[in-house]
Amino acid sequence: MGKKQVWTVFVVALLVVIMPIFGKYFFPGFNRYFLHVGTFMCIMTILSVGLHIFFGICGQINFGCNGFYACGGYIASVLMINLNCHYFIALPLAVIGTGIITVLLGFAVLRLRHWVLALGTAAFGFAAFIAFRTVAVGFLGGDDGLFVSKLVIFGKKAGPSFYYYFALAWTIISILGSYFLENSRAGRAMKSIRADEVAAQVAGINIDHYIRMAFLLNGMYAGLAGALYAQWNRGVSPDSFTPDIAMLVLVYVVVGGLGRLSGAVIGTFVLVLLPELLIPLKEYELLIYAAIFFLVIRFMSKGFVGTVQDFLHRRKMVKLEAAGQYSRG
Amino acid sequence: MTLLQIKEISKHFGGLQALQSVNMNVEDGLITALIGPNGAGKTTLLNVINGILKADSGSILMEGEEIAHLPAHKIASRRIARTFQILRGYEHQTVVENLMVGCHVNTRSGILAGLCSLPLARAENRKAEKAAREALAIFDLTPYADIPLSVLPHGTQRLVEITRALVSEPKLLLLDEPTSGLNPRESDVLLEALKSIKEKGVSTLLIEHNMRLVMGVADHVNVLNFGVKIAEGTPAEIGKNPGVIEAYLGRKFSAAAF
Repeated sequence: MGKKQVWTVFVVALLVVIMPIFGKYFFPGFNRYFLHVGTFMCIMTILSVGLHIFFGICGQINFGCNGFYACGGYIASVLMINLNCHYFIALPLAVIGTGIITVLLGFAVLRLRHWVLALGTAAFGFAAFIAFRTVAVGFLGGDDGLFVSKLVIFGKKAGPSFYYYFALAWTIISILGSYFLENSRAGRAMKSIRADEVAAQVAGINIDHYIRMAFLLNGMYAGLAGALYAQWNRGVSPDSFTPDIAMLVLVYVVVGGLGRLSGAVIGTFVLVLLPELLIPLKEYELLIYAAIFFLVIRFMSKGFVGTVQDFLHRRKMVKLEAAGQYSRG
Repeated sequence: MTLLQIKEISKHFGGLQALQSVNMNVEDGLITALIGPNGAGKTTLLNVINGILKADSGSILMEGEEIAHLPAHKIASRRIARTFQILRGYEHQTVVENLMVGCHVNTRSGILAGLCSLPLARAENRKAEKAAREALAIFDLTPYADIPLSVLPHGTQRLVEITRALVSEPKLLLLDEPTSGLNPRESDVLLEALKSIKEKGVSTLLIEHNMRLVMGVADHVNVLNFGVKIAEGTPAEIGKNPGVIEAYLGRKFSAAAF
């Protein structure tokens, strides 16, 4: 990272951390709203960073994020309600549980590639949504879902700012994990699978292994998001995990700039904020998303971030050309 | 000493016999060329060596060990590097990142080490980046180090791809038409590079249509035609072989060259 980027990250970090403390005293009404949107944004960011690892880095399509998200949420809720687990134990167990489900699903769907993989994962997303509505209604609550009691830490009930900071911390960990992964041997291997599977194999990369691992990470990130959601929302119901969620996350990642971590984060930020700014048009939310999606695909196929980066790189090439270091021969 | 032994390799696609009992040796430290008309099965043979395609029958020995049954990534870890006829670089990544992928077989840190940025992963990153930046010098690519591959012209991209194969410190380098897309100046650079690669002790198996390059660098030439090996020998012998002239070189070329 360059100096400028470090400063940008620092300023953004300061804003998101200071805001609730500052807001609590000066504009309490807005603060509650800020914390609500902020927590939701953190959860969605974890989802889209997870998808970014599988789709953006490794180049495999997953339309079933809502399924993993639901698994994480339901596992955490069941552990807290039926086994009386503390949230801090239920959360990692939910992540691991979702991971196990992802691995099992992977045995079946990762034999597929490209659009067939999209269909396979989408089928899982739909199946999970329907299953949580209809299977074991007495246990999983059917359409009504499960109700989780308020989180108590050291005898104190946790408030909205706790959930915000907790989700924010996990978001930062998730983003850092993805950032480190991308710039490691494993991340480079995944990127080369995205570019060309044959060339990757010939470079000594075990593509099946890395695709499975990327899928596992995608599932575990989504499971984490689900577990965070379950406690914050004080419970889960199938309506929180509709297949729409999988599509939304996909749109976040693509609109921000597919294959770029900053793209996934900025895409989520802009598109979660957008409907909040356009509350009068709430009914047309998905329609507006679709319009943005098509406009971005058509006119800036590399997303917000990719288009800007490409412009900068081309300018650098022109400079090199002018300096005579480069010729078309 | 023989580095790679190809014994009785056959491969067919449906009714088409792409390779028919091909025998070939790649000697250690030498440049072996594989020539022949389009559709002769040259690239198919390379794909079989790489394990991208599995042969119907026959065996391939690398340093005396059978590799024909191994998956492609295991064969690569026996230090066999490869470039392709069509560009298969990683377009969105910078030149240095492309070259760092070449270090994959020389490093071993896994997913968890990467995710948590463990010391092992960081040390290997430094090692890979150092190797990649040093390798830039082979084809004078240093100015493009941090530019994405997709922005570079075709010829430069090809040089990056060859450099990536070299970064993995291969024992055997398989080059599939490396001069396609290169201008004459870049071809000359490649010719010199092939000679210096040979001096470093790397063996090369080269598919090439540019006969000037083949005659200039190859120690040994094999000729394929319709999946059958029709000749082998030194460049001079091949240039005089009537069967090869008939099938591939044409009378004009051999009259001019020899």
